[in-house]
Amino acid sequence: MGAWTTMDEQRTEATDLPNPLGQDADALRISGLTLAYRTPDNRLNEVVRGVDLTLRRGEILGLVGESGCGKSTTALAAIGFRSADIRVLGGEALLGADDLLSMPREALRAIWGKRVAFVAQQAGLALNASLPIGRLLADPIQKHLGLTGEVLRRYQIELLRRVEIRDPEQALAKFVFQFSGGQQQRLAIAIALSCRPEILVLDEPTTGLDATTQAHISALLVTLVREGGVSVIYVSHDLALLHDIADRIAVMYAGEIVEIGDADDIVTAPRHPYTRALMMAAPSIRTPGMVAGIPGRPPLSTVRGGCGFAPRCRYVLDACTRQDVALLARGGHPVRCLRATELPPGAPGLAPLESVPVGDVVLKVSDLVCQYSKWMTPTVRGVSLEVRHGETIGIIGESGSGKSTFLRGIAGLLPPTSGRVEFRGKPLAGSVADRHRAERRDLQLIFQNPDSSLNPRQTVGAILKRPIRLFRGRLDHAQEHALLERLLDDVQLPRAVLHRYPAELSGGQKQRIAIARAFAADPAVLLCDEITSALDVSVQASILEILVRLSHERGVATIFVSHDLAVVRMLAATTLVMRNGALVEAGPTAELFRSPHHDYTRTLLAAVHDLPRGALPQP
Amino acid sequence: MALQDTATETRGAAGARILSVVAGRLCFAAITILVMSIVTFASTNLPPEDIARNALGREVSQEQLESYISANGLDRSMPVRYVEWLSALVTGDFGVSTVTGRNVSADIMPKLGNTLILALFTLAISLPLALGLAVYMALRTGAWQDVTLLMVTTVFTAVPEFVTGLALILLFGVLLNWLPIDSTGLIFGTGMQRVSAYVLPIVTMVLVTAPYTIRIARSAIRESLASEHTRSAILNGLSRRRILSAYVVLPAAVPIINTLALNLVYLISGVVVIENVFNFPGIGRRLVEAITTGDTVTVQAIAVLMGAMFIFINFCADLLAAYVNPKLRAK
Repeated sequence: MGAWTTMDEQRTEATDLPNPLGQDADALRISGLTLAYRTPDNRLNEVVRGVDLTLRRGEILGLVGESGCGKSTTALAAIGFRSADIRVLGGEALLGADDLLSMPREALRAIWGKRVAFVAQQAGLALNASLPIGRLLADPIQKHLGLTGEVLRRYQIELLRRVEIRDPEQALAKFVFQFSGGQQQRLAIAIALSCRPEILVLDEPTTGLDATTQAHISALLVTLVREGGVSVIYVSHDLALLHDIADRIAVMYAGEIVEIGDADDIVTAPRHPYTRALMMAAPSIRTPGMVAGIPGRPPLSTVRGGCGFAPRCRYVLDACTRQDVALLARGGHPVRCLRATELPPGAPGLAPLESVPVGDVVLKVSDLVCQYSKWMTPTVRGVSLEVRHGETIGIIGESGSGKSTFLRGIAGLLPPTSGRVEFRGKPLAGSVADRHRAERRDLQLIFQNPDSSLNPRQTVGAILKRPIRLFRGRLDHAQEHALLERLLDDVQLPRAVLHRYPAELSGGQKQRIAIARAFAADPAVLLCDEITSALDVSVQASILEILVRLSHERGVATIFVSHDLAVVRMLAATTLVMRNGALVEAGPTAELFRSPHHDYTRTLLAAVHDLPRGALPQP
Repeated sequence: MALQDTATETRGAAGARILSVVAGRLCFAAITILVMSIVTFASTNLPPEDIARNALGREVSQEQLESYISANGLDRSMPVRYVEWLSALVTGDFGVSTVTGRNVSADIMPKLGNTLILALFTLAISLPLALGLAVYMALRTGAWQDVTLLMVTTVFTAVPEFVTGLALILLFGVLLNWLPIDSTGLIFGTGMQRVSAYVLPIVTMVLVTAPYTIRIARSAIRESLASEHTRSAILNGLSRRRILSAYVVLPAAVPIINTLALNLVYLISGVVVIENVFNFPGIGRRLVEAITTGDTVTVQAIAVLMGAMFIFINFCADLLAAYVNPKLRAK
């Protein structure tokens, strides 16, 4: 018994034993879970410490935090699974009377898939592409339920029908890569639920899918688990999503639970500065405002002798760094913060958005048509827009709506079939290869994935020098260096990264380099293609802060493509809605989001999860 | 009922599609063989006088040479002779050697048979051996068994095949005296003598080809073991055997098959060296003989046969890779 068991203080001791009469009220009881990562040089690095979690029967328990805070590791360990480099240092995970942590692998095989199931983030990777769907489904069903022949086939078809796969008979013979991302996740859910498990662990099951697909899948999941009475651990970095679907939420930081309570309580009355910071990093549609990033990054291991969040905390006191902080009720739901009672009550609000002075039209696009091949229908079918000096235009739509292709057409990466792109009144050549150097400088594109847009074999310095030398004319060494340093300051990166390679940087840092590279050219128009979609909420917030500040300072016109409506609501004064390559609706963002004219826009808006917001925090 | 109909229908349509893909590949292979035969014929095509001199010996008069040339049609243009050669070739007639005076088919076919037996046994032993060891090593990555085996495979990959062959002859043929030091038993011996004549060449070929396959297979299987789909299979509670076969080895099969095809191609050319080390009466040794005696007709025949085998092996490997990897099949 350590300090970490305090959250169970209110509970009676009888819960330590399985209930001999009738069904257990708890589906899974995790206590004192402590895990370490074994480094390649054989040292143990504690990554999860003293986690106590009780999964109640039939509830959805959300586990939230930034990447690297230990939530996936915890959820997997809770069902007895850990990768080869993870060691259990202590604790137990009781399923009835069985401890999944100490159970041998062979015994777990009878439990996994049958009583406890798992759905991974990327179904495209999690499903074996060498076997047809029918086989993937049949494997666990034959093993655990023993169905065969026609009965098995009917059962499989019924399962696929339940997860709303079209043509289930045909789907059985197909392979995973023949389905879209959303369909793949439905298949993964069908496999997980195939043997009617008591417990389901979901690891970011909708992350990476576009907003409407996300909404459909999470709605389907909730329906299925509620019908089946399944108890769910739902791991996500999306607090707003968890608020909408989970019964309780546990917030994790540095391998520990820092706050746990009813979903509504966590969001309407967050008691840990980290939870508040996460909420302030999330953009909102209903109460739009400026997001705030969380400075720094989560530690790579647990922290002893002080609060792990202290270095990033705006409420930090000396006392916070001197002692471990226990998870205590402190007059509300359990929280691991000395100042829990002193924090402002209610949900934190977002700072008001600044309005930006807008100048002349910089870029005018008329009736752009783009197609990848002469024989295919155009991906973009006659879209027009105007963007002014200092203005940000948002383009929203589902994946496949042609919004990214539209950007590629403007940039000249995919020369348009017809239509005009005019820069300050002068028409630009269709292909980027035919544009003058100055014209190329004026339009800079930032891509979604910095891993593929930054050359892995060049240092950050070399990456940034290229546009400087191409577009900034002759600079002497000192001038060039001064410019490099200013660019890094602008994106809040230390100067030491100049000598680093992209692989040595985090995802957020890489995206900052990509932004710095675009600004290195001193552009007039910035084309942003889903630039924050692959990032954590907190990292996204810092990137958005940088982007807003820089484009205000430089008066850059920005076209921001995203499937995240809340981000567009925050950034853009004007929004375009695209569907199937055509413009569905366009107008001032506030108006368009408040009273959309088109049904499609309404569907997009309905898919958004939003957090309740309160007053601004006191500085 | 309706259900089954659709299923048969899709299966039928898929079958037709697979058939058309196979037919396409086969056409491509045939064209490649044709091109290769032109290159072979053109590059081994000596001036008519040299051919005649090879056949008749050095001490001949100009008239004798000329009459030989006109009698054998060597004065006609090369394309004409190529077409004639090719049309004989497709009926299995490789012509008559100008050096030995024997029918080339009758000469090389038994030797080709010997070589194919050698290659087949090598494959039949080294494939399961390589796969088994690769799985064993991948499951124990970093452990002493893995490290030791890795070192052993490195050594065997680095040592040239004739050194391996000579070392085996020294050990089993000379020091232990268990096996014949060469394969001439295949020609003169009977029964067990014939069988034992195969052993050392096969062991050498296995030792030369398996290590590389092991290394490639090991890393493919390691990657597959660490993949998310393997984790999902584990978390579905499937048995260890099922996970290994269908979720670990099957998805890793494509690189293994490709390596194997490369190895087989190597086997065909490497067989030249090994057959010479063991005096093995196979097609590789016959090729070397034919080259040294200037036996153009035999060289052409063997070159075309070997080339066709290369292409056939690649064709089979492509089909097999497409069979185990549905993603390739879809393309």
